[in-house]
Amino acid sequence: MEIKLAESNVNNSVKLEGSLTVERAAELKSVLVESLSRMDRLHLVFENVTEVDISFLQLLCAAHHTAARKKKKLTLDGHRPELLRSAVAEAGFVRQEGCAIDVREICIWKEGWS
Amino acid sequence: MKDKHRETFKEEASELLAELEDSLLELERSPGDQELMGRVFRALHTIKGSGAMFGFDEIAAFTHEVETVFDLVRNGKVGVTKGLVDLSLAARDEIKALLHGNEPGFSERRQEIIAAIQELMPAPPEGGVEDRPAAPDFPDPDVLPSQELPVTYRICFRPAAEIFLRGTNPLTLFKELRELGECNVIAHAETIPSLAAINPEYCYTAWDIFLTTSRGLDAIQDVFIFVADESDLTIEVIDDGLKPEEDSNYKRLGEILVARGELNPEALDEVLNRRTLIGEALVKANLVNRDQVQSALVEQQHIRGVHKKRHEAQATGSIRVPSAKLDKLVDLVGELVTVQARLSQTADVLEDPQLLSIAEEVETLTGDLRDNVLNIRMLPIGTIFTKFQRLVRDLSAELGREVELSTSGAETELDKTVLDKLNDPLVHLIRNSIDHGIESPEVRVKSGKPGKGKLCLTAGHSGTQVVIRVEDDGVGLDREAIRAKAVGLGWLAPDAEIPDKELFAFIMAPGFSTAREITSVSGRGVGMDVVKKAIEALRGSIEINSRAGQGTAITIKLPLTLAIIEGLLVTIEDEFFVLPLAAVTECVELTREDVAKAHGHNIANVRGEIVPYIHLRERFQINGVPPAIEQIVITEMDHNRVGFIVDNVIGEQQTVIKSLGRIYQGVEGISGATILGDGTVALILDVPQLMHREILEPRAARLQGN
Repeated sequence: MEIKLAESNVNNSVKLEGSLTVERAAELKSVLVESLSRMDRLHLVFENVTEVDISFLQLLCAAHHTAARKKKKLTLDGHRPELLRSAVAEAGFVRQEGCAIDVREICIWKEGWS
Repeated sequence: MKDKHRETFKEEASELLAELEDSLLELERSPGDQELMGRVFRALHTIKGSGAMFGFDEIAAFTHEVETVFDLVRNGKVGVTKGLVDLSLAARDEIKALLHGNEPGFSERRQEIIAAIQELMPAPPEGGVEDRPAAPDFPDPDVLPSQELPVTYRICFRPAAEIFLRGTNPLTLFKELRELGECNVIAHAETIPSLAAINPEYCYTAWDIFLTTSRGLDAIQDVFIFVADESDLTIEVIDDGLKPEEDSNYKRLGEILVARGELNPEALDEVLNRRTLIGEALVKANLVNRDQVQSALVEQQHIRGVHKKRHEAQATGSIRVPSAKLDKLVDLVGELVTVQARLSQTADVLEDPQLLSIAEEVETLTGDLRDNVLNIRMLPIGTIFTKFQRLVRDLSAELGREVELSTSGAETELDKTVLDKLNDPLVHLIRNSIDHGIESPEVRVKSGKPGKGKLCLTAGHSGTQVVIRVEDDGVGLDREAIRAKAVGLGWLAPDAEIPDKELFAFIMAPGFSTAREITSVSGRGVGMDVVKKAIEALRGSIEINSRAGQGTAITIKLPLTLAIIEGLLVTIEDEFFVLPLAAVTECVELTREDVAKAHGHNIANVRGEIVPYIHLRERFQINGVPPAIEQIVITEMDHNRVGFIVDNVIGEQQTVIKSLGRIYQGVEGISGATILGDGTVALILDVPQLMHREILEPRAARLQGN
């Protein structure tokens, strides 16, 4: 289990590594909750991802909801591992328009998945 | 009218029978292949069905029996054996005979086949089937692609919240669905709560899936079989594959939402009246959420894609045209090319700029038209290759050989006329290879070769020629026997040194052998002169390579087309001749001094290389005085360079080949004629023949004489 919090407040990034699946969902949730409570801008970076499932995509969605409600900003790094990209595409999460909560048009599912 | 339909049926049935034969032979090699079983069954089924429709009742009745057994094969109840394939092939031949109106009525042979086939049907549940292969590995019969039209389904999948905890990964389900056909998945994520509220191990997402498949509803339900109980699952047909194209725009977004019951029609009408983008407007009005709109959009695109594909499939379909019509078309294009040449010539003479530009345009168009029309007649050589599988199978069984036929380059295209005439020579060569080339398994094993002989048919392009090779790994030609025979016939001096290639060429000479003798002597040559003639009639060439004990390769080179070639127009006195441009490499001048330097030999020095030449004026005995500076047209074939001396080289010429009248057909050195723009006739030189007769053969004779 390698979820690393980058120390730097300059880029506010959190690095997620390894298996991003339901087995670790609780753990991943707490990392996201903690990070979002601490930072106004949270940038997620993915590295050496070995597995992704739908529970993780839901967590990202939920994190984005929370960020949107709290007027914080959640962004995903442009470098997205193939495993993550294919999971997002195959699960049908890619969007042309953000959801109702996405009033500031920062939906994470709009760009960078093709 | 009915006759016309019957003709169409006959044509189609012939194609189906050919396909049936291929599939049966393939099935024999891979007896567990479900797809092949399906193909065999479908071919039989179609022959039966349309046979009955067009009044071929006997075909229908007979085919029905064979079809029945293949239905059992398809369902894994009867195994594929050599016996079954043999019977099916025999049945196929019978159907063919019936199709051509032979042996109608009661036939013992057919009764025998039916009886034998019925014996193969399982009487008791297990056993009763002879030499069934040891448990062939049958895949699930569901995997068999059905013939049905692709249907598009909308699958709404709302899994239970605990689905992840029970070990199900929806991504795996989607993957299985994708294997069924074209599939679009769209997630409804609006229901995902905020981070604080989410149970990270629950599933909050629901999905709409659009799937186009011909595998039927059951196949879809099978995918969801383990989750169906605890999930909301609805599967609806949204396109049955049959709807006429008029709805190719499919439903509009609003209509889709109404059809799904997510929006009521009145609300839709009301919003429509506001005239904004419908999806946007509906969301703003809080009638549907964005995910629903997104899903409807995906559905719309999916169905449009399906319709587009169907439309394309129809548009790219082929039509059946009698080949006589194509021949007529080629003739007409030939005439057009001739007239176009006249037009260009006239325009040149008149020097009218307007006419010149028109003539140029006509020339370009004619060229394109010619290429296209000739292209229509091109057929892949694979169409005759596949026939040989059966030939090889039957021949090797008959002669006690084991032969594996492999083909490559089946996609190589040749003019239909050439292809038709190529069949017999190739059959002959294959027969020779199996009869005299490839040894019996025992002999092969003794000489350290695998018991199964190899026969390779390859085709490919080489410049403007198509090269076809028939190669076996048999005994090879008996060099000494051929040599002895040639010496015996007085064609070869006893001590003459001669390259193998030329020695082997003797077996293609008429009169070299009588059938029986050659079989015992060289094992080759039965009717090889006939093969050679047939290939030469196609303006092709044939060459034999062989190594004792290792096999024989016969290479046939053919021109791409017979109808129109690019030629080089030349003159001698006031006669016109055409040389095939493909053979020409360059043109150089020949002065009187050059001739003097050669001391009476017909050779020219071209940049240091000695090139023998043929003086066409002498060869064709044309009277008159040659010009002071003549032209040598240098041609190259099979690495031999030979020059042709002419008075003048005029230039490139699209040449429509006209065959010569019967009286002139035997004339050596001329392969045909063409009509020039001004109506003059030009003779087309047979470059390979002239080369052989005038240069190569005398050279070989000199070598033998020494």
